[in-house]
Amino acid sequence: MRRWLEKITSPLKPQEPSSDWVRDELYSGTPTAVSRKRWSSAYASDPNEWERLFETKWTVVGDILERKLGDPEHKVVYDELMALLENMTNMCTLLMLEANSQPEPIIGPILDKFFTEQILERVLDWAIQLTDSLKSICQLAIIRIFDMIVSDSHSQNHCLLVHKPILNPLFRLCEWFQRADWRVTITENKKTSEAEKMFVLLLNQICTKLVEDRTLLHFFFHSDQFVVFTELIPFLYSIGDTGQLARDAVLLILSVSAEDQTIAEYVTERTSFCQVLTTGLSACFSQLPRRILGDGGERLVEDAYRDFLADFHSALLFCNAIAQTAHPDVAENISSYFYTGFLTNVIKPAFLQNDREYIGASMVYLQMCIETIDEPVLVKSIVRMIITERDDNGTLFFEIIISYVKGGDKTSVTALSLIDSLLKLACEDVMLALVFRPLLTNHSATKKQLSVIYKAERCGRLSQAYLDCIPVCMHRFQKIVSLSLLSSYMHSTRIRMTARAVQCRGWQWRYDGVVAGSFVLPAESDDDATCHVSISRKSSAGQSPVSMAPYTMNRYADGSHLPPSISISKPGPQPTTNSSPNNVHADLDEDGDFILPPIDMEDVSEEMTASKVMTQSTIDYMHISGLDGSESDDALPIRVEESSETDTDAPKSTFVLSGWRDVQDMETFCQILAKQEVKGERPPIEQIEQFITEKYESLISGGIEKAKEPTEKKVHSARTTNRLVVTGGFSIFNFPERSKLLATILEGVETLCENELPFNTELLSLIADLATYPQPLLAFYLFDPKEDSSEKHLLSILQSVQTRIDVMAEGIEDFDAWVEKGLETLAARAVRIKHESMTTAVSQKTRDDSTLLYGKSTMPPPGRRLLIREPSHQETLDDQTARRTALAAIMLSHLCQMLASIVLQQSLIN
Amino acid sequence: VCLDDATIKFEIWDTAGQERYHSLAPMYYRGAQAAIVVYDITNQESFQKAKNWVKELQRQASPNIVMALAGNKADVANKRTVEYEEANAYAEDNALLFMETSAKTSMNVNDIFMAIAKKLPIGPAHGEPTGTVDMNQPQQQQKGSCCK
Repeated sequence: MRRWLEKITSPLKPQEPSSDWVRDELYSGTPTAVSRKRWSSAYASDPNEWERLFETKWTVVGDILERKLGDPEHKVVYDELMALLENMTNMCTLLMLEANSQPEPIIGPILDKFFTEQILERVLDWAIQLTDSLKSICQLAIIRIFDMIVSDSHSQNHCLLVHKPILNPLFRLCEWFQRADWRVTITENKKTSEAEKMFVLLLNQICTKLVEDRTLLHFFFHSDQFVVFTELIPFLYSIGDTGQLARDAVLLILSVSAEDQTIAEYVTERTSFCQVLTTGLSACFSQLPRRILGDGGERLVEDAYRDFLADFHSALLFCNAIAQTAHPDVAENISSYFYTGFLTNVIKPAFLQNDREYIGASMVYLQMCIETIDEPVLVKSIVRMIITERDDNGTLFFEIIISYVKGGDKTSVTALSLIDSLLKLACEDVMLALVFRPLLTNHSATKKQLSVIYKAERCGRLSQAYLDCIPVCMHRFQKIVSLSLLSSYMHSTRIRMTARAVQCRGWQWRYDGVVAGSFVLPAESDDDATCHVSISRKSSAGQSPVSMAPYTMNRYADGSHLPPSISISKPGPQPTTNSSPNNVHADLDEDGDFILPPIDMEDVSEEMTASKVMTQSTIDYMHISGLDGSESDDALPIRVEESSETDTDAPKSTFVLSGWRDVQDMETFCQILAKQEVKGERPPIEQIEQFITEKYESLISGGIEKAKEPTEKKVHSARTTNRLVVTGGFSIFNFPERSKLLATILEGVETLCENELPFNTELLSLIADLATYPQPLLAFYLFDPKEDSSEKHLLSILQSVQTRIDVMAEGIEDFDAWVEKGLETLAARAVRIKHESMTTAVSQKTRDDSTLLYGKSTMPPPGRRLLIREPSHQETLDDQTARRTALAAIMLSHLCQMLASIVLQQSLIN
Repeated sequence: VCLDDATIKFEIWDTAGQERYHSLAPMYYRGAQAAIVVYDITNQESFQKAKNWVKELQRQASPNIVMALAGNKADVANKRTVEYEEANAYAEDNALLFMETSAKTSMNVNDIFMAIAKKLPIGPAHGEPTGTVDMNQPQQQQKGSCCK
């Protein structure tokens, strides 16, 4: 923490003969090192001299104290104060000299004098009676004295604070600061902030000591007080160094006490730390600008707001660091206030305003949160808001975001970018809400089709199909369509898909149409479209690519803010360091000729990759749910299960039907039956009855004897209760809606030629992230052509866009020039954004796709004004069409090559 | 609110008034063009606290900030402990707008915003809509209002 001292204090002043130097020292902030300098060289090794000097000084001080004691009416004058302070300071210097000179912690004569004469206590008693103007000077000096006591001792000796006669005055000093009236009566802001800064510095020094010697902790935490910690709370969000010192101190003290349950309880229940922490975030947010400049991808703020943006960002980082280092109970508490005090109180209302631009800005800020915060407990809060919060009409938060994609303006771009950042989390809950739940009920894939997703034949065929969608007019541009570009896409997508697969490793389901079995959902029976997904699922958020920290390096990232002896007990997830694809290897030559992989004439008649052993109950189930009444064997019966236990010992590839197989008695069977939901068109009653009878009989033969009549009655009641019975979860079948997100994406691609560049850039980036997900269900939806022509699919859309571009390109004069211009625009934008974003953290995503994603959106950089604008002269309609067509052509070409490489890489998934 | 030919959009921040959040208040009022300090007419202590807030704002907030004092809960005037005249006199001495309001019946709520709007200097600072800070409310919300 030395650097802090150096930072905030000015250089040493030359020695002055009079006692004025003391005053100057106190006012200018020169450290007490000055006094040490005067003394230590001459008296470094003579303890007797120290003692003698000490006695002299103490006499002076004692007299001054006595004077006031004897005559309460006596008004202390300035010079008197200065004399006392000077001598006190010197006395403490001597005290430290003595303490440091001893190899063991013994009580030397000077320290002893402090005890017996209760020096510090008496000085404080005296100081309280001063007039206001003198009081503030005195306070500052006393703080400095304590600072000396704390920080000037070498660590091998114990800290002097362990002694009550030293510690108690310190507590009193803290109390003094706590009194609100003190703050209000101070009229000069400068002095206030100076004293505050010194005070916080002192606390910070104490926390450093605590780290070095944990036994000190119980001196500060006892009898229902946690002195140092409580004092720091009001300063958490102070401006400048004070705030930073306070935050560092709090982090230190919480890391030291991270294992202590009692302290954790105290912090959460007896202090307002968590509330202030998260409310402070709201306060930071309130200072942010309501509009972001730029085109939505490129983001800028005016200079005046630059600091506020930095404050917000560092507040997020701090929250994250606390959640990472503190006791889990504290982290949990913070997470909960983060949700109520910040997310739902401030972020959510921001999205519900009727100000489109402000919503766009709020999207950027929310994206900042998502990209800055990686501690799972906090990410969980964010995810929770996104997938469970609703507006007054019942629209879910993420649906609101998606709805803003329409419009083509800046806010549409920020919406896409925000969604993209959600995709990058690779959180199963989010993906379930956005994509998989609708897909599970509304996809057209057969099991056969899903089973060949990773097969080379499909992948090769499809990748060729995507390459065929490249506009013909682009073929002649080597810069845009070439084997080498394709190779670099192959390389970069390989890396990204591997990373994505790693992120998805913790997921519960594979979404391959096979083991889609039981959803574990909490009981939310009043609302079947509720996405109250159990967020106990492991979120892979921690492994997502590191946040883009544009201007404040994450000072907490490597633990360097903590002293070396501390290891963060819960190491935060480290940014995934993938190898830099900037070193595009030349050894991609294996693909140099880009030969399609040989078609694998595997026996595709294999109906199911699932285990061929389907238990009887599985088939039974398929019967009763009516699914194979009208559909082939390839149908996917998926059922929501209300119990939370899955058959853990069931063979992996069978349907997970919890309970059916194990049903041994009639009662349970009937119970489960009663809870059965039957989808849509029901099979004839007789069929159901027959099945039930069969089952019944099999149970009977299993040795269970029941009277016929009661069972018949039960059967009857089971039959008549074939209405929707509310289960513990909610039914997949009652989710008729298709994925809004996927639909929106396809619409965006359809209008590629009309969209503006920033929109297309974000859109393609989003598709790029989505397409890297390995799940067959999604892969099929995105890549495979659909037989049902009423359902739009990407390939056909790309084909029609391709046609459109080619046709329009023929009609455009000097199309090549427009293409060149388009390339220039893209390149310039990319350079600008990279230049402005100051990505200190390696953001592999951007680098990977520099081929496609010129000008990937970034966080608002520190207030750089717009340097270059797009020419804002009035465009003719023809020119606008030409410009957009050229850009769309370039984008489409890149998109096709990227998709081709992704789908090809799917064959490498095992 | 609509004022003459102009539309004024209020970005309102409701600060938490409890003592523990006091240190965060500057972040709210620093950039604000207006502030409403609310007290409870049935609670003399809240009036004293309101005065402290006024003092703080006068000292720390922007010198041009438009300040209003609102005596809330006017709907239960029978339980009042702060007299209208007392508060009004204080407001006059300190150049504050003053109204007794009731959030429950909406009495004077619109009016106080209108009064603030009238007092605001023409043209917002930094091209931003005006920000108003509400002091002494327990809950935090953000509302924006625009006339139809």
